[in-house]
Amino acid sequence: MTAQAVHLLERKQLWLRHAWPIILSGAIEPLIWQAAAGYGFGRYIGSVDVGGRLVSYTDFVGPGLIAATAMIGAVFDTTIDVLWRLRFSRTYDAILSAPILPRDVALGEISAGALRGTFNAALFLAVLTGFGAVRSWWGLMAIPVGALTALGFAAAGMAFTTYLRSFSAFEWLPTITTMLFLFSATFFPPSALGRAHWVVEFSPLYHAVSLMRSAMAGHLQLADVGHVAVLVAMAAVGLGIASRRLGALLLR
Amino acid sequence: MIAAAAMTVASLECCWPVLYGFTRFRSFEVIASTPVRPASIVGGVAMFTWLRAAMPAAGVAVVLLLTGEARWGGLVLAVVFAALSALATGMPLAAFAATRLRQDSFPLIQRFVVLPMLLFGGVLFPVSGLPGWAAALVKVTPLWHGVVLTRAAALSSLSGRAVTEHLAYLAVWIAGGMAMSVWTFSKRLAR
Repeated sequence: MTAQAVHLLERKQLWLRHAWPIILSGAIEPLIWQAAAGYGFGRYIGSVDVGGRLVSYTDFVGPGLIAATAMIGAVFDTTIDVLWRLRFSRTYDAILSAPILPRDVALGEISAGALRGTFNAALFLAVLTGFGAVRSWWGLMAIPVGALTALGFAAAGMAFTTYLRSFSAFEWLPTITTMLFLFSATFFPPSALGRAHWVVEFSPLYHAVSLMRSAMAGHLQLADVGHVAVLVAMAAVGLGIASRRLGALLLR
Repeated sequence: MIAAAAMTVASLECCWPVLYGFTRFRSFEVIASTPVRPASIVGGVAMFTWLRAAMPAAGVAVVLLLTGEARWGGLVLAVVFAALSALATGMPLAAFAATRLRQDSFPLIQRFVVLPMLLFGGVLFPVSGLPGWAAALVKVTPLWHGVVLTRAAALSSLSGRAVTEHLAYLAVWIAGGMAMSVWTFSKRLAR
């Protein structure tokens, strides 16, 4: 992390003082889903088989929701507001008149998104712990895994945003995140899709959810190396694209 | 899901577009400068919301038809009921949106009113699974009445008495919401 990127985080933190109700309420949203799963439809489902272990549906959904909330926090932080600063308020043009490189801007914004996603994950972990849904100290793994998930999705969101020209494209954003949310093994194991289970593997959120589930249960396996690799690759490629595109858009 | 899809769209339609009719696009001010009265504007918003809510409901109905879960006669009726219950949720929101200057409260409404209704309002699991106080709360919401009607229509198990009762309840919400909207729209346009 460069010193310049840290300045961008500082700027973000000043701005956040006015936005905290939205941030906090976004972090509380998974609680509503968890309650619906735990007290509502989860009762009609019973337990779920995860790699040979039977876990209750509430325990099954919890880690999935932590990963999903990390994704949603990160994606919403690095898309709509970033487009506004990039194309309309011209904040980045102003920032680049200081000795800061486009790469630092990308790094700063992505870190801010990653921090917001991590905050969501940590807060939801605390809530789940309060409800007695976290069984061991392995539960703390939710924070590093949530941070990695948020980093990957913040980088992807930032890279995606640099290709947009208008806000109308964001009509699709909730559609994409909702599809990922519902079909990434958050609410059911991939085997529930029968022969079409491989489709789930194309969802980056699936890798985050699987990693979260095994890490929080303390059952890390070889497959989890693959999940980590997918998220790291997403972060690296996203950062690379976002830096290049920001340079091309802003330094003309 | 037919009722839920209709309500989701109606709740969006009655928040942002209503506010922007007063602020960003000022379309309501433009209309009000003609002999059209606020009550007629509210009537127009209601009719458009009903149609707009019926569209995604019909989309879900088509999927059900293709998967062979229900008959099309019942599904047409289900879409009509779903859009009515969506209107019953939407019009009070429109009345509220007409009093706002900014959109800040709308995401909170989506998160803490609309989403809990979707998750607990009898869409995904029977209300009988909830504790007594929560079930009583759910039965106040227009969505639950819409879900009961929609489900009965789609599964061809409608009874005349139930239809009358639930529709009457929804009518109270729609009429109340529209009356409040006429009041808030008039006040805003008089400024």
